[in-house]
Amino acid sequence: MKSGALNSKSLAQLKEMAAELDIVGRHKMGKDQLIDAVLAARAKVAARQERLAAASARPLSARPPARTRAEAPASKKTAPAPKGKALSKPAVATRKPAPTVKAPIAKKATKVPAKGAAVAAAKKAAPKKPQPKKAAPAVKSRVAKIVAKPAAKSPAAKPSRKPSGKLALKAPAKPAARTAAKAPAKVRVAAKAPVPAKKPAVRKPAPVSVKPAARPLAKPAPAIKAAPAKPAPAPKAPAAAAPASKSSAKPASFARPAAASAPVKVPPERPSKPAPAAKPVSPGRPASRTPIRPIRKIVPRRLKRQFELTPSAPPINLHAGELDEAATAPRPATRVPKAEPAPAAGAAREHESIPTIYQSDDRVVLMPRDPQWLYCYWELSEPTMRALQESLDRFGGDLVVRVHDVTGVVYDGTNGRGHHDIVLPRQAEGSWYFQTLGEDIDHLIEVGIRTSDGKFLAIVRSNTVRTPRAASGYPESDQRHSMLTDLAQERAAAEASALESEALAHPSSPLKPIGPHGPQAAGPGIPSSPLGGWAPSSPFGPYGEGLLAPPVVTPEVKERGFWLVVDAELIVYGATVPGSRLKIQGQPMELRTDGTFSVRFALPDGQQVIPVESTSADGIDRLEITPIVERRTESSEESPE
Amino acid sequence: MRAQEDRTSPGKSTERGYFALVLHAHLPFVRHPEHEDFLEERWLYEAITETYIPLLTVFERLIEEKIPVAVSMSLTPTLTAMLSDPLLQARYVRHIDRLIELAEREVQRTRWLPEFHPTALHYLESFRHCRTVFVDRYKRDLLRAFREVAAASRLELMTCAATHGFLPLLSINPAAVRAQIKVATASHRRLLGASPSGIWLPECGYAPGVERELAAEKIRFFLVDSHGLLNGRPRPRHGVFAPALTPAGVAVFGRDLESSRSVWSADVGYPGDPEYRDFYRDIGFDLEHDYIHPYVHESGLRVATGIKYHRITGRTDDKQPYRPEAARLRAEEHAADFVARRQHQVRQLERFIGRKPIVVSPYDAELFGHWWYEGPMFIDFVLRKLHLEQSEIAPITPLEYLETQSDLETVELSFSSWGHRGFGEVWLNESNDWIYRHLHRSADRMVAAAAAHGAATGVVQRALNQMARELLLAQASDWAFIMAGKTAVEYAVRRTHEHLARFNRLRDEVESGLPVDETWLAEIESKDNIFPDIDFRVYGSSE
Repeated sequence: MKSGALNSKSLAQLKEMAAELDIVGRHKMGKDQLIDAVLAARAKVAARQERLAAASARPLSARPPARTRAEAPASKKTAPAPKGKALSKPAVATRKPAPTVKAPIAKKATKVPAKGAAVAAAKKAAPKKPQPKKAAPAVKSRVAKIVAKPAAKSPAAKPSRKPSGKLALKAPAKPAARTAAKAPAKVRVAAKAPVPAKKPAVRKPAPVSVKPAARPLAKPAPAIKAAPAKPAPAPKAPAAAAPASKSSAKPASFARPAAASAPVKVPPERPSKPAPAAKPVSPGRPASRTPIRPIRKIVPRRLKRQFELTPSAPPINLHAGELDEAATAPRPATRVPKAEPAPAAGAAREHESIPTIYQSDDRVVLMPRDPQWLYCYWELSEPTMRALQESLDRFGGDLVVRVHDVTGVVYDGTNGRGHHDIVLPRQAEGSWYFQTLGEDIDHLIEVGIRTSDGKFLAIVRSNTVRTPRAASGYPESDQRHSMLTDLAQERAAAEASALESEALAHPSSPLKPIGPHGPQAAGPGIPSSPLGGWAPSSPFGPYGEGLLAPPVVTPEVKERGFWLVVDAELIVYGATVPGSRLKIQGQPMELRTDGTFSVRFALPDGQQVIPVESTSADGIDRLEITPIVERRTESSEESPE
Repeated sequence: MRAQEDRTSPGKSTERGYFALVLHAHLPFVRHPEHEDFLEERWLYEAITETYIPLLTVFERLIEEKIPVAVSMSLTPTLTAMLSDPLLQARYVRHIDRLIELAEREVQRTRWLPEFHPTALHYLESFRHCRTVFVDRYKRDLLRAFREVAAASRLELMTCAATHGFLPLLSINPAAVRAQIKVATASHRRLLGASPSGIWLPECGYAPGVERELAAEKIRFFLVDSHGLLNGRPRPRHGVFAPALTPAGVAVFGRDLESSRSVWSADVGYPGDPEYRDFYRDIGFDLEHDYIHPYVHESGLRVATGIKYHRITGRTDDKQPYRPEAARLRAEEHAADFVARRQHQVRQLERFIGRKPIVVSPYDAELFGHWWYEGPMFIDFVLRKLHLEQSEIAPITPLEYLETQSDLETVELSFSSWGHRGFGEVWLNESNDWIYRHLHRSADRMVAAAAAHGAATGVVQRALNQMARELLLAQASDWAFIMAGKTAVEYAVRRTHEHLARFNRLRDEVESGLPVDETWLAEIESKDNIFPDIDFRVYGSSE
């Protein structure tokens, strides 16, 4: 195969040629190697042209048959074995050495430069029948091409139109891709490109574009391999179906508990920080000056049950003195808490049923939140509500919460040291945050009616809560890190990414639920950018942001947020007589019991010489086959307009 | 600082002050026998691999070298329940075996990547070490490991509330708080073989009255955040540098902010050093799908594997390869800095305080190892340096300190926590406030049921006991915490619902007088199997 013409060149000339062809590692090569490399490079160029021409050829993505699939190297270079044989036959460059060849040492790897790029090589190689002696075909790694023109081709979506991959064959460009490809860890991403293309179809916004910077955490980093190798299947129906059903399933799953009737407040309600949190910051503010101001009321939708006035209901006069009577009024038999778990409910659905109503009595509970804010929730029984409604209708007035300062006194209904009123919606149940009367004060509240002429009739009284003394100079930023948040975060990120990567990675697999509890991936708390909502409430504080390192290192990021990362790995596999001793690059390697082996390497740019040596159990026979693989990464870019 | 020869041992009169390291080890009870591969169970496995075993290893090595391990560590009852659970133990073995297999493949895969290969080898070795410790050495029982280390050193094991309930918000019903404490101490006795002397109040959440329940259980001390003690009445004379007594006689220690910050803080904290291992980059997210698939979640969901090859590097996306040795050196530098700062602190304080100050530094244990990968190493270095390189500060545990001090002042504390801004807003905000109505009502129902069925036997008794378990599990502060975090809230919501629903259904069955559905009862007993010997009468009257 060697070209005589090349053989006659001097080393220096060869180097020059190599330089023109941009052959990696040429400086270290000897003459023979250079010749090989030059031949290979030329072949590659030829192959490119060939492929450009052959638009109708099979897509790159044609995958090896089922079983081999798992072993298929990241870049499609290997797979030389004829398809049918893939199962049982040794793979890589492996032709099984003919048993008859007893030569103790197989020919020391003659490098047979592959004809053209991997795929081409694979196709051609098969028919070509390498001579028995030339054991190791050198496998050329495919050129990683990057054409960053997103809009132009939604190639991902149209895998069957193989050209997309091919189009890439432009002038080599940025070394950037190369770097990216080098570090194994950096690699991953690859398949990202298809995502945006596909996404819009299924779910609305491609999260990618939202926050490219933050994104990475979530980044699934689909294997590179996926990018070039799988375009074909990806766009297929399953892919589309997956996200689709997912997104539809998602709300459902969350809705379950919520709909279960529990007063779950849907967090999204307030996307930013809890309002109360933001406000109370004014520590110095004299409490007395500020009237108690309900900052918001929280009345879960389902609890907004307005009790209708029942004309026939006997009016109850709500005097303070009758408080107890009202409070303990027997609950009418007609009113059975709806959501009491029905014993009949199957265990499977048990978690859907928690009580929505506990109105066996009237109740108001006061809870401390911090020196500036208290929280209370109340529940009024139906008879109370009915009487209250009647009274209000007849005499006018409001349902109010009266906040008392009872510091140092045992409150008897009259001896508070001061109070403020907050008008409530006329609801049987609800909750409020309100400002305290100050720190270190005993608070007690009463829910009752304030008539239009200013009289107050208490219905129910709360527990007493002493507000804490303010933390002088408590560091705002002194937030801690917690394993829980990491993990929750990690999960959110993973799940968000799974939505994308699954579609890519399991194009043909039936939709699986994400995690044991279903597709909760994008629960209500997980916006399309999982990190978006995190930073403000994260206990990391400022720390987190710096560390939220996108796993994707220096991807090619376009101004429009489009990007791509590519890497390649190599699988060397084969088989020998079971029980033999095998070494790969001098390192002992365990054989499976059937004599097969397989090992996977991250493949950096450059050339790898991989002697695979098998010695029979009795030490008499020895064979060596040496694949030589070169990876070279080029990239290019196209800007819109 | 480098006075190698000065080998004074702690407790000698030469010291000018004390340093107490307190580690709070906690994970919520997550155990799902109904699922083969449950994502949240990984919290436990990761913590075992990255924190608990590395810390135990550090302690064991120090003990061998006769360097005092004067450290306090709270092991929460939920954590100890999981560590002693055969199902989770078996699943951990499976987990670590897979991890070892992955690390082996990584060693091969990185053969041509010299900048990552040593790190791959490092992980392989450390995972194998975990397996040896967990399986061969302690026969899957890490609690035994903690017991043995505690017996052989000054490691002091503390307890926590039963399910890490945030007590200030549960204290509307004092019986709820009482049960959290009593069940915790009973669990501690059963699993760790001794009555706890110290308790970590969940989230350092204190509310007036809690100390009475602690005193009833003969607990000697607890901790609060700095402002919790500084806001005491009267204001404590020694600030946080001496404990105080609450009116019930239980001592309280305050967190030292300066030392805390050097570990927690973004600006001045150690763990953000560029040389340290980056937490986020993980091959679980980075590598090619088919390769990594067997090692992430069975559904294909990508999760962190624990193998991470990069260092923090800086505020950049371009993370550089991790260099284990350089990171180790950095950890030693940071330990030296930490000790030097404590010395400086003690010297400064001496002038203001008429006694030897104690600097109390409490941290979440999982910070060390899980988040800050080099953290256990840092602790190792700190303890060594305290012992070998200086004599100004003696490491001490809070209990040891109390043994030597008798003239503590008495102060009254008010509500505080170590959560964001120091009070209750993390556990009481619009994302999670809806749970309290249910928690309070359920606690009331529990108390009523305990009073009504005090003589229950057989299946009714079992149902009542299970009610107590479900109530306690629903009360875990972790659910409110996760809800507040706004990410992945669904699991927390689901858990809250689940336990409340189970509780209420049991309650209805018990109260209805009809036969309890035994099949279902047995099912949830096997799922929520925490506190096997709980007695629902803990909710009975004792006031």
